[in-house]
Amino acid sequence: MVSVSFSPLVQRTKPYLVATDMVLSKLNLSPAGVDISDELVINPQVKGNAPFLKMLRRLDELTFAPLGMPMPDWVFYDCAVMPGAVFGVCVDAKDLEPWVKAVMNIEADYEGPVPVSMFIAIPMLEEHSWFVYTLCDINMVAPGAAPSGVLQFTMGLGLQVFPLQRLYGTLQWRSTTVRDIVRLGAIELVTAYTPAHSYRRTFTYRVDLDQNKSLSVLSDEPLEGGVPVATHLLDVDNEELLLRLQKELEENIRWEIVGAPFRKGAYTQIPLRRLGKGGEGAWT
Amino acid sequence: MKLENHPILEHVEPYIVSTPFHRPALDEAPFGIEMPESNWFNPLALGSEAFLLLLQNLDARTFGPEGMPMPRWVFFDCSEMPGAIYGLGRQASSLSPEAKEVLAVPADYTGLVPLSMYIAIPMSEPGAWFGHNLCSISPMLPHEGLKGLGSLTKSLALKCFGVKEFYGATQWDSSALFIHSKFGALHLQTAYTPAHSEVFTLTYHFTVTERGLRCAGGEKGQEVERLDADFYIHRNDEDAIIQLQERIEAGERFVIPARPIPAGGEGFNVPVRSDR
Repeated sequence: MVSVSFSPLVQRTKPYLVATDMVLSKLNLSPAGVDISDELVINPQVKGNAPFLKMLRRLDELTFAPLGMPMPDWVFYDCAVMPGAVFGVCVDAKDLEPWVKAVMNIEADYEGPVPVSMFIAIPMLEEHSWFVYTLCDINMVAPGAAPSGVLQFTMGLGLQVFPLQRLYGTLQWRSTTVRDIVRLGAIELVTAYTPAHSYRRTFTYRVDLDQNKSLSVLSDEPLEGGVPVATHLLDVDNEELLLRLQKELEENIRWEIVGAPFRKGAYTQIPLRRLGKGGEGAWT
Repeated sequence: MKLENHPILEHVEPYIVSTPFHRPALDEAPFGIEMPESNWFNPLALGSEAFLLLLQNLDARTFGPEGMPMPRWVFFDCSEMPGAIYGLGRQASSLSPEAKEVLAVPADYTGLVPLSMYIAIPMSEPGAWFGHNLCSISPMLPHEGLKGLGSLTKSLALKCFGVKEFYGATQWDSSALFIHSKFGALHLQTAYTPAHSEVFTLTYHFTVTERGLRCAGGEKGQEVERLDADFYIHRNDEDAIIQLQERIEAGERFVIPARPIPAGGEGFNVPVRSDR
């Protein structure tokens, strides 16, 4: 179920799962045919698992602290592992370069698994809907620290681990992860400009998933049926446009992200589609 | 006194923060206590920003001193998006100058000001929720007639959210244990929790009952069953807490059957009973 392109990741990484007994029974322990071994199913309520959890905290700190959004430990417990779960992949410490161990604050003689990516999903009140608020890997801040493609691999497997039919999430418009999310096809915008978030230039998205869409992340083939044609190109740094988009969303006009961001000089643009009115009247 | 007639309710209004797609799942009149339509705040809308900032102020005043204030992104990603917020507030025009100052209400703000809030997130089991924030400004405004505001807010919130099985985490030395234990015996899942910022955190669970909600909310004549303790753990007895965790991991089960009791001028002792 995992395409040839991802085979090296199957060989070089091991999936892990941090989950309480309650949520564990709801999760798929063999996502896309890649088994999560018993020893890498980590119960966050067991004292002896503290060292592994400490490495996860370090990974979060490395990837989100530069954005001013490190996750306090109580949030990790209350808002990640109690309601939901954390999935990701590990690399054996012996396969990591010394500098990567140093970055992760790992003792030189440690030989166990080191988490290098993280996908956190929590259930929502809306049935069968899950919210992903963390998707990260160490390559984001230390390129080459983990095998290439780890983030996409983690996302693809993570979507198989959780019993989600509708995926919600938040991302900053300039986040490099936007490129990974749009592999799922057209993404509906829930917010375009979000004052309730630490970063106003955050968007909230949702996408209904089926097996084909979820597996497409791990496939070498293009998404079946393609994606709709864009009607607009959004300059993601133009706050005025983001506000205009947000106001339209609040008027129940639907917008979708229909392609990956591309950068030219100082501009980052994302293709969008305005639904219902063929794009007429927007941004003119 | 019935919960519906709690004296605090004469001076406060309920509010809810929830996305439009979660709103239909909520009981907006828990115990028949109606919420004015204007007190629903959509976190996805630009117009809610001023109120959401006041919620953050409330959190900072209450949890900030304990070193656990909630970052804004956590409000959005881990509260407003997956779950909901229920609370009680007053119109700015009826707040005392002291209350406005404590809550950092902007001079030109004219709407509802939150005095308490309860945040919970649904868990993977239908009807199971994890409560991750209970704030009440009452201790900081002792002369405003708000005694019991925290317990009342939690009772109404659990009813509003439709919680059947409740899970929570709190610190052994937190006075919040006095509130949580009002709902009934707290079944311990952890006693010592290295995954949390405060390792001396306990994780607990109880089944929500109408009687428990009414009792905790302050209704007279409602009592939940209280069993005797087998032993007590002082709130700061780290060795005893770690030993209890080891017994839990070995398969033993424990409850906190009643509220903590004073420890002769040195904090309090928490009753613990084997959950046979």
